[in-house]
Parts: sequence; C-alpha cells; structure tokens
Amino acid sequence: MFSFLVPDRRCHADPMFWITVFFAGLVLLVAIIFFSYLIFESMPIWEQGVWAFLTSVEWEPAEDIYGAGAMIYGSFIVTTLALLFALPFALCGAVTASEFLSPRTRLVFKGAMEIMAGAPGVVYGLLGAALLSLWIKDFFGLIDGATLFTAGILLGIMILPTIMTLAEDAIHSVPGEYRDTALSLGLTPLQAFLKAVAPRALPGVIGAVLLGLGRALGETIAVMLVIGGLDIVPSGFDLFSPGQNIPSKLGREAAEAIGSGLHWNALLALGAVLFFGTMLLTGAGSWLLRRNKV
Amino acid sequence: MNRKMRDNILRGIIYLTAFAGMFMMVAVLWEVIQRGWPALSLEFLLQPSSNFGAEGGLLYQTLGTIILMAGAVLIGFPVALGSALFQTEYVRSEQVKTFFRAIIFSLNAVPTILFGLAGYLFFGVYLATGVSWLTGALILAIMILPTIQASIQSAIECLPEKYREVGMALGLTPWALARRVVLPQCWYGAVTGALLGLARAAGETAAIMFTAAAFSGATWPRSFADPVPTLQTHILVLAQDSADAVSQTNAWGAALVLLMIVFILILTSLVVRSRFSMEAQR
Amino acid sequence: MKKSEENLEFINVEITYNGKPVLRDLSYNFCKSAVTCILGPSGSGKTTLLRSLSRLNDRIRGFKVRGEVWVAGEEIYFNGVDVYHLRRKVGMIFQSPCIFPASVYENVIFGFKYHHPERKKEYPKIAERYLKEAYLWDEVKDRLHKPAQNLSQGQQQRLSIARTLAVEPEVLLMDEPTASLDPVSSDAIEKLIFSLKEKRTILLATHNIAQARRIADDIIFLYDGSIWEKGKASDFFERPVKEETRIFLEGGGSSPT
Ligand SMILES: Nc1ncnc2c1ncn2[C@@H]1O[C@H](COP(=O)(O)OP(=O)(O)OP(=O)(O)O)[C@@H](O)[C@H]1O
Ligand SMILES: [Mg+2]
Repeated sequence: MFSFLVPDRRCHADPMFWITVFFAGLVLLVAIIFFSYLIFESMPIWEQGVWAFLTSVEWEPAEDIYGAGAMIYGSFIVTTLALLFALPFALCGAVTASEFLSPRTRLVFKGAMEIMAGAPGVVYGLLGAALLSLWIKDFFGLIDGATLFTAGILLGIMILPTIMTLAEDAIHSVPGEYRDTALSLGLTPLQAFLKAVAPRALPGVIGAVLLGLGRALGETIAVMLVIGGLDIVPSGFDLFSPGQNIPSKLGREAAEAIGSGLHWNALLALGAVLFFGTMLLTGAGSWLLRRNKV
Repeated sequence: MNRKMRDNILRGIIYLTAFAGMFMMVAVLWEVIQRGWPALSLEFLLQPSSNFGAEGGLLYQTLGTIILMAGAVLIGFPVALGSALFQTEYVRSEQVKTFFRAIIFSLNAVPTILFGLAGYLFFGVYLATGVSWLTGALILAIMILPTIQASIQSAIECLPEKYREVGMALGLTPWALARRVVLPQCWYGAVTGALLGLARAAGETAAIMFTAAAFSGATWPRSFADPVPTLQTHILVLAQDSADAVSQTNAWGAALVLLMIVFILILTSLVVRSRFSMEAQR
Repeated sequence: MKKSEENLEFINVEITYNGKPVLRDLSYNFCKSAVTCILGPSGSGKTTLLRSLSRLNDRIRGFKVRGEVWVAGEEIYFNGVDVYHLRRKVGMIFQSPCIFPASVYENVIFGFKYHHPERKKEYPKIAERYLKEAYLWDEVKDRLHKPAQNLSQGQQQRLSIARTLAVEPEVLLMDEPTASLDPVSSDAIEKLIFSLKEKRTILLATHNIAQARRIADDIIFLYDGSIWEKGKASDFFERPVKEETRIFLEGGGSSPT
C-alpha cells in the first residue's frame, strides 16, 4: 500500500519520518480545504446558471441579483492593456540584457529586475492614486483619473520587471552554440539573435509573459486604488471610463458581505473564476518555461 | 551597407526601448524615494501615529508588519521544510511527486485576495480567532508556503545524486542523510526561501486587510486576539485620501520604509543564492 | 537455511529494471579475503551487480531482485533486513571520488561519527588510522583541517576509501575506482587494494584488463545478461574457454560483437 515510499521498516519507525509525513499531510489538507471551500461556497451561484452569472452585468446585492460580466470584462481589459504596455519594454530589455550586456552588467541588471519584481502592490497603488491617475486626468482632460486605462498602465509597469527577468532567463538559456554557429556564418549579433536564438527562446518567452499576466490578473490593491470601482461595461470599449475587475470587487465588498448569504456566495464564485483564470495562465506559463529548459 | 544600416537602426530601437523600460523602473523608485525621504527621521520611525495615521510616526505600523511577517515565516517554514523533505527524501514514486508538485503549484497560483476571504472565514469565524495578528500570520504562512517550499526543493533537487549515494553506502538512514548530507549542502535554499517568504509577507496587503490589520489606534498586540496596524494597510488608507498634504507625506514615508524592508530581504536572498548555490554545485 | 557469517553469495538471482532483465541465472559464491574482478562490456550489468549487494538501488522504482542474495549470513532482500546495518558491512567506492564540502578530517570520520556518536574522543585517532591505511596520511597530515576539495583527484579517491574503511566494512565494492584517475594515482589505489584484501572481501568492477591481470584473484565475466565465464584469474587470462571472452580480452575490454 505504501509502495510509493522508500521501502524499509526502520525508517518508518523513525519519528522524523512521521514529522515530515505530518507536515506534508498538513499542506495537502490546507489545499483540499481551500479548494473545496471555494467550490462549495460558490455552488449556489453556479446552480442558478453558470452562463447567466458570467455574462450578466447586473450586480445588485440589495435584490440578490448577481452577474459577473462587468468584473470579467474589467479584468480582461486591464490585463490586456498591461500586456500591451509592458511587452515592448520587457522584451527589448530582456534581449539587451541577454545578448548585448557584459556578464557583470547583466548580473546587476538581473538583480535589479528581480528586486523590482518583488516591490509591494500597495506601493504601486500609492503611485497610481497619487501620481499616475492625476497625470492621466490632466493629459487626457478627464473628469476623474481613476479609469480602466490607468489601472492597465499601472499593472503594466508593475509586471514589467517580472516578465523581463523571466524572458531574459528563457533567452539566456538557449545554448551558446546556436549563437556561435550563426556568428561564424557571418551574421551580425542582432541577426544571429533573430535567426538562431529567438525561435528557440520563443516558448519560454511566451511562458514568461503568461506568468506575468497571471500576476497582473490577481493583483488587488494597486488596481483597487485606481480603477474607479464602477460595475459597468462602458459602451464602445471606452478605456477612459471607470470600471471594475474581480480582485478589486472582492477587496471592496468582502467586508460587508462577510460569511453568509448569496452575496458571499457570489463573491466566492467571482473568486473561483479568478482562480481558474490565474491557474490557466500560470499553468500554461510554467509548462512552457519548463519545456524550454529540457 | 544598406543591410548593415538597417541592422544598426533596429538595434538602436531595441536599446532605446530597453532604456525607456529601465527609465520607468528608476522613475518609480525615484518618485518613492524623493517623496518619502523628507518624511524620514528618527522620530518618524520611533513615534506612534496620531490623528488616524495622518500625522505622527510609524512605530507600531512597522512593528505590526514585522510581527506578521516573522509570525508567518515561523509558522510556514517548518511546514514547508518538512513537506519538502518528505517529497525529496521519502517519496520515490514519480506520480506522487508530480501530484504534490501540482498541489504546491496551485496554491502558488491562488490570488492573494482569496486567501484573505477564505482565511478570514476559516480562522476568524469558524475557529473564532477574530481579526487578529495570529489570523494574519496564519494566512500569510499559507500564502508563502509554496514560495519557501519551492526554494528548498529546487535547491535539494540540484544536489548531485552522488552525495546522497555516498551517504547511503555508508549506512545512513534517510533522516540522517537529510540532516548530514542534504541539509548541510542545501541550507541556502532554506535561507533564500525564508527570506523571499518574509519579503512576500511584508509586501502583502490584500490577504491581511480584513483579517489582521487595524487601521488606527491599535498599538502592539497584548494577546493572540489583538489586531495590529501595519505599514501596508497604513499606506492603503492614506492613499485613499489624497487631498491632505501631511498625510500624503506620511504615506510616502511609509511606502519608502516598506520598500526598503522588502528590497533588503530580496537582495540578501539573491546574494545568498548566488554565493552558495555555486559553492554547492562544485 | 543459515549461512556462515562470512558468506557472500548469489543463488539463482535475476535482476530486472521495469520487468526488463539485466542479469539472469546469477549464482556465485565469492571468495573471502580475495579480490574478485568483474569484467564485461559496457551495459553488461557490472554496476547493477555491485549495487544490488548493498541495496543501493532501493530508491529506484522498477528495480527488482528475485532469488537469494546472501551477505554475512543474511538473505538481504528478505523483508525486515536492516539495510543500514547491511550497508555498514558492505562498503561502496564509486567511479568518481565524491567528497563533501568540508575538511579532510570531517570527511574521513563522516560515517564513523554517525555510527558512533558516543566515541567522540577517538575521532582523531580513527582519522589517523584510516588515512594511514589508505596511504594518504603523509600527504594530508598538515592539512587535515583544510577543505578536502583542494586535494587531487587521486587523493580524493583514497580519501573516499578511507572514509568507507572507517565504518569497518567486511566487504568492499569498488565500481571502476580508477576510471577517472591518472596512471600514478591508479597505481597508488591498486597497491592499496592489494593491502586491503588481507582482511576484506573485495569486488572490483573494471574496464581495465591490465589492471584486472595485476590484482585479481578471481574473475567473473559478465556478458549477455549472465555470468558467461568465471574462474581463477590465471586460468581465465591464459586459457579463456569461450569465444566471446577471447574476443573481449583481445579487444582490450571493448564489446565483443
Ligand atoms: N536505473 C535504471 N533503470 C533502467 N535500466 C537501467 C538502470 N540502470 C541501469 N540500467 C540498465 O541496466 C543495464 C546494466 O547497467 P549497468 O550500469 O549495471 O552496466 P555496467 O556494466 O556497469 O556498464 P558500464 O561499464 O558502462 O558502467 C544497462 O542495459 C542499463 O541500461
Ligand atoms: Mg558501471
């Protein structure tokens, strides 16, 4: 029955063995409790109709009407904006660091990126609320700077270092022979990169981008402070209108709905959707990154 | 010639864009430093705040953040270490390993706000610990568990098989192997894991904002059931009212302190990792 | 059936990886206090044979041993055998020296320290005794507390041997112990093996036929998944019975095809 363990009696009599079993079991238990909680608590909403919940834009706790449309739309728009904004900078930065910097400078650059990637969301939130939203308000002549656009740009800045350093890893892990071969055939370093290295690094780079997006999708505080907090799908893809995304919604309403009732179920259903999304992105992302390594 | 020029232009564009990206990062840092610096002083760091956090210092907020992150690592670290050792030292089935990896992976993918929701209900309501620093530390411990475990596990998996075999050939039991062969060479993974865990816990707001943090008035906890004020939530509250100049200065000061705490932790972990992982791989 | 305390024997053993047999019909009684060389082309199962004697493959899933393997009066694949005790009696030396990142001294007493935590006072003596036995003492006595990684490859290999000797094994398994060493270091190790066989049973897998000629008392030739030929070293090298053995010896240890 326990054939998946290293076979032997004396080791199973060792208390340290049981301690590690206990901790591993604890991790398992936490995961099981957490995921089943998410599923069971959101059940009442799914029973009312999955499709209706996902597409309806009406969210009226007072009348117990819940639709996630606005939040899903907001999450989608904000993450896409972040991607479009961060991508050129992140990719060019990664290429420069991996291909054109000296090993020393590269190490410093990488260290800086990894440190920046760990900067707390709330600091970005402060930057967004106190500076970015004001700049955007003045620049585009808006009434209020808290918009989907602001949130998207802020998230873009936030995930920039994450994507950059992961993409750099992917590019740098392409074996040197590819570069050398291309160079020995008379290609310039840039051409060597484009023709020989880039195709091989591509899956890993896409993986890096997906992981960055996963982080953007789940970020709460920074977005909450600048998105405007209005549960609407603006007409005509208006980016300069306030909106709402899932984490921000959860952050704003959890305190009042706490614990019971359909309102809480609806919030957890939103949470389940969010978890599904991040799981998809980070799952695909790290699968691509790992594939890149072997 | 024409081709070479195109090449150079393209390269110029790449450099410029990369530079612009770097510039943005520097600008972010610069804004925080430049606005936070004037607020920093010994009194600011050592005085309690007043007037709902808009005035005064950061003493209890900093203390709260430290209590929460230290508590989280104290709880999370042994669990992560034990569970990592179970998987690397005792499990030999690939399927079971893959299963555990998937569990850790999915815990890592959970958006932190969800830990806040579920954690509050589970600890705060069912286990009746209420809004308290202990609830917060428990939630943060779960949140940073995958970070710590992944760091330990990847260090252990980097250890060449031959060391393990020598230990086995000398008659060491799995636990003796772990203590005398694996850990002495992979401790850097545990240290970087703990440091990164501390950094993540220090920077986290969403998971603790309605479970552990009091927004003002609280000082240090006198029992397990007391909430604490934290830097994170302090910044969050101050950021929401951007009209008042003094409170803004305080917010930037707090942001700078928090940023420094997190940066120092990550930087130390980077140094430890690069110094000692190289040594172990020789 | 009880066997004598010094017995080292395979009886009708079959070893498989994931159901695929690597060694079949293995029956052999090893001579005590002698060097038995295991020869055979690459992939013929030399390493597998050695490792099966101290159950080092337990961690490998899909590895299975059928039949009886007797070590020191015990059937070692019998449920309930204390593997850790077994491995103390059966020491193993690997192809490339594996030194822990610690001092020379810490490396020698590594295993002894674990098995005898209470005999702390004896550690320095033990270290000296086994470093001497491995002919390493003179070279390292001034740098006992310096990192062992700075030793040469040959010194490192002798250090591994000293470390294994310190847990006092009765049987010594050596898997190509000189394969990664220069000729001078190899010579040193061969001399060492020669002096060790007085008190211990030694099994040595090697690709180096000249080396086998120099130090072997008995020979096992593994080929095609079983013991193809065996005998006293002198007979084996002078009058090989089988065609494949002759080709193998003439080819200098490469695979007969
Ligand atoms: N872990 C394993 N899983 C599956 N098959 C294995 C494993 N280890 C060894 N084998 C197979 O068992 C056979 C014997 O391998 P072994 O390493 O014992 O040969 P060897 O005689 O030591 O070779 P060499 O001289 O190259 O060291 C080979 O065919 C090998 O492919
Ligand atoms: Mg071999």
